[in-house]
Amino acid sequence: MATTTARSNAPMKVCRPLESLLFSLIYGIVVFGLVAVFTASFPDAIKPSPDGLAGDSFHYLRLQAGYALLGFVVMFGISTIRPDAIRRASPFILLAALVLTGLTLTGSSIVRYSHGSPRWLQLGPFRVQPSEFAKLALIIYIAAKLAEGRLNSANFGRIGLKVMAVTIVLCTILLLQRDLGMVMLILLIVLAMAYLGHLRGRWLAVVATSALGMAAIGILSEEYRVKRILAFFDPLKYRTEWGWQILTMKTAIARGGLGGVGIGRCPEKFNYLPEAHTDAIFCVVASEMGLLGALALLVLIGAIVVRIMQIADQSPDNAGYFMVSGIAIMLAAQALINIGVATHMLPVTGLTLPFISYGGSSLVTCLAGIGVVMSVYRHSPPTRRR
Amino acid sequence: MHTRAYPHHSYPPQVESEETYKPQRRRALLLRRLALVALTLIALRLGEIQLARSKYYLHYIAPQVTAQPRTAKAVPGSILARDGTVLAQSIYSYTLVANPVRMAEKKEPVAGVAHQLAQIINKDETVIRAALEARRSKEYVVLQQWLEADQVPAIREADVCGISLDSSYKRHYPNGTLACHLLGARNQFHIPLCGLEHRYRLLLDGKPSAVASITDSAGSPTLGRDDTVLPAVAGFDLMLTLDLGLQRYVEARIDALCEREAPRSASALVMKASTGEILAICSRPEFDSNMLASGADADKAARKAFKQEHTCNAVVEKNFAPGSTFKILLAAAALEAGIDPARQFFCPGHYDAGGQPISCWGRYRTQGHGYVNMERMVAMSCNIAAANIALDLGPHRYTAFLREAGIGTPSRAGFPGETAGFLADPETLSKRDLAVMGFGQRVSTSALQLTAAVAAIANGGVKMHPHIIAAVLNKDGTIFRRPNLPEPVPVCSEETAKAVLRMMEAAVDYGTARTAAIEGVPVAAKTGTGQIWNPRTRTFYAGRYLTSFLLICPADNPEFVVYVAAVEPQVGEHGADVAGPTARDIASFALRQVVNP
Repeated sequence: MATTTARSNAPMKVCRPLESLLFSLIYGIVVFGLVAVFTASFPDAIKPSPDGLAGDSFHYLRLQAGYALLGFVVMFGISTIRPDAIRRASPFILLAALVLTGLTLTGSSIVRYSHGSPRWLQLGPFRVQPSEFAKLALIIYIAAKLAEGRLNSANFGRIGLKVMAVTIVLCTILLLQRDLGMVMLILLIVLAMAYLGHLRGRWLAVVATSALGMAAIGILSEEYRVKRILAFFDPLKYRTEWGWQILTMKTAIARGGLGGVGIGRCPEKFNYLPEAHTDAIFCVVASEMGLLGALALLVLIGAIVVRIMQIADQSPDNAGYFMVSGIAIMLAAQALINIGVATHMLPVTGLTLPFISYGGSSLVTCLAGIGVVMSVYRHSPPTRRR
Repeated sequence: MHTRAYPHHSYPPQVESEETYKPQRRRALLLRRLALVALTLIALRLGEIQLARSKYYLHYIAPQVTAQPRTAKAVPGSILARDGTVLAQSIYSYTLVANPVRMAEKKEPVAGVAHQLAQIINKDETVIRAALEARRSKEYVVLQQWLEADQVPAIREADVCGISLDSSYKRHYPNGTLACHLLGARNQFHIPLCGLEHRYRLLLDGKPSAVASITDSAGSPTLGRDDTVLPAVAGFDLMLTLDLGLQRYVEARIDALCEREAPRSASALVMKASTGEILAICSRPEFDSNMLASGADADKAARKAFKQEHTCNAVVEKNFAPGSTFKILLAAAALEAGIDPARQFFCPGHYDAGGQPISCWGRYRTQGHGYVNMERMVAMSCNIAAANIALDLGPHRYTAFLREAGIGTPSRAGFPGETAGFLADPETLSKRDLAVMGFGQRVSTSALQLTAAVAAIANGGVKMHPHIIAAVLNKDGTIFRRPNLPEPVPVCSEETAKAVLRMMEAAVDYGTARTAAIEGVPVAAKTGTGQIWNPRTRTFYAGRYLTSFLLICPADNPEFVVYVAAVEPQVGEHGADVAGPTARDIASFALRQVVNP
């Protein structure tokens, strides 16, 4: 091969292949997710439709497999693009994502509602959740800005202000969507990225405090959020309403024991566990595969995040480093919050578990993020194995 | 002048180019560690939920959030007297229940609900309203129990939010406190608490329905279920040997005895000598089984005051030193061992067998009985003669006879909590111990054990196994099982039995038991006045007696053995004047009224 000669001097003309370890891990977790989606979704899928037809138990599995295929194509496609091109396109990507997300607030005919909140857009046959894409677009944009220099007062107008502005715009849209969970996730990601971008400790504290204040205002502004918080502290007292979800999730997990009740056998998913195949899918996994299965999933997610961070370290430029780190932070934060909710360590929020939960937008976004990671890897110079 | 080494303002920050700016690895490492800590916390949390506290979630939380298997209740069995009269039965009943918390949530007006319900259940509107308002924060308030049949559909039609009906079986004892210690009780949730209800709960309760499920090779249920429903199995009815008429009479006589003598407690037992069937069994003080089963608010104070010891069936659960009634068994043992009944013992009123001297009772303590043979020993209840006979008999022969007669082992008559009593090892008996055992001290029996042993003598020396269960019946009245009774045990020869009966007749003719005489019917009887042992001081209480009376009638062809005891009577002191008349009344009633089945 041509690249074997003059490895360090010649500019790379042919990019490297996909990173095989990360790809294997991603492939593994997506397949794991397909199994989990099937077992968690069939009780919902077999429900008869309003016209009396029997449901198709493979309904969600088939869709999710399609999304996975699409996601892998997107991932491969993005991985061929040079990180520099992604970086230059980042403002436009973010603008497009913000417009799409903003469209949900217009009340147009393509807007679809979830529990009364406008979160979806019907684009042809696909129903997409633009906030998922906006989250990734924001990470890439912020990474591109952070690459230009450290986040200090000298660079405030050039970097800090822009980061703040886009974050506030996106968060405002999401708050109007009444998606406080996503807002908290995005604030957490931005905070962690700002920390990586050398934001000074006192400013970090200011940002964190104001994020918490925003969260407090957001919670107090809606009665159901207050009840969720109250139920978090005493689920038994509120077991007939908000505490019920928490107790059902914990019961399902407890049922798993060490080895699990067996795939397909968690009784709670039959109409007891709300959102069994999306937000609460970890409970079904822990119930059916037990502590061992749940820990295996934790290890898998941990390995993916660690591998992504290693790739970030290998990046030749700052933009690649921040983009890849941001994606690692996104995956880790989202997984930790989702599992924290499932195990009653955090109040209930509606966040998906990356790669596992059912949902096209979530899966495609995660795989697109992996595509960005792969792009950085493929276009960075090969490192010598020590 | 005070100068600073360094100027306080910061230098203008150095402007970096993109090429020279390298983000610090340190910060990335810290983030990675934070994530690792969070992962570890989650793993620990999973271990807590799935291993350490899984029982709490599965057994306490799960029933509150997921549906439990639905089963049909089994029809519980009843307890019947020997003629089939119901003594205890279960009634399917509805209870009107309110959930004030839910009513408040759904903004149901309390006044309106109270008004609506008052019309249906014929209860004062203000009472219902007060009950609802007083327990605003409760989720389960019982408004009315034992709803009538026509009220149930009316309440269902009213369809008030937060008002529901609980259906359940309620135990009902139609005869009130009759034979309460024997039957026992159930609580408001139909859970057996004591007595035969508890002892035979598995027979009485039946089995609720169940759904059969297919399991995998490891035995855990697979998702698929076959539809085989194992139907509920009704409980069995329990038919007792109890004679309802006699039981009623016995309880009335014991109540009269209690009225007259105000004893601490009293009990009575009537046994059929030829079969060992228990015809009547009664203890005082009594308790109200219906009060325990109702769960009504009105009985709350009574339930609170209720103590477990009230349910003690003293006849079978308590043991005591039987006193002089034990001389019947001594006489039988002596005759069986070949001791001449005509042999004379001299009673000077006291006797020294080592330790504290033994004395006779009452005025004979000073004047003595003089020369006494075995018949006069029984008839006059002479302690000194009894002590001498026991010493002649020796510890081994005496205790062997008593053991054969069932003293020292539980009777196994079908009651819960039967006491074994106490019968000493003959090797450990001192001379004085053996001497006092002759007149029923240093030995301890339940009333049931003593009566059953005496019934053996009444039955020609053959001990029939005492029992209370006549049969276990299916719901249609056919017999499911009869009790599997042990073979009769020969205790002594027929001649011995007849001779002892004659001695007991003599006690009625000219001895201590003259109050037992019934006109026209030969009666054999023996009195007993036992001292009560104070375990704290290890002496007998002064002036506290357990008076008892054993009666066999008719003496020529024994049918009934009647035992009556009163602990610490306040008026009389001796078995003859306290328990004797009561035993006689019961015996004459039994002779007149009890028709052999």
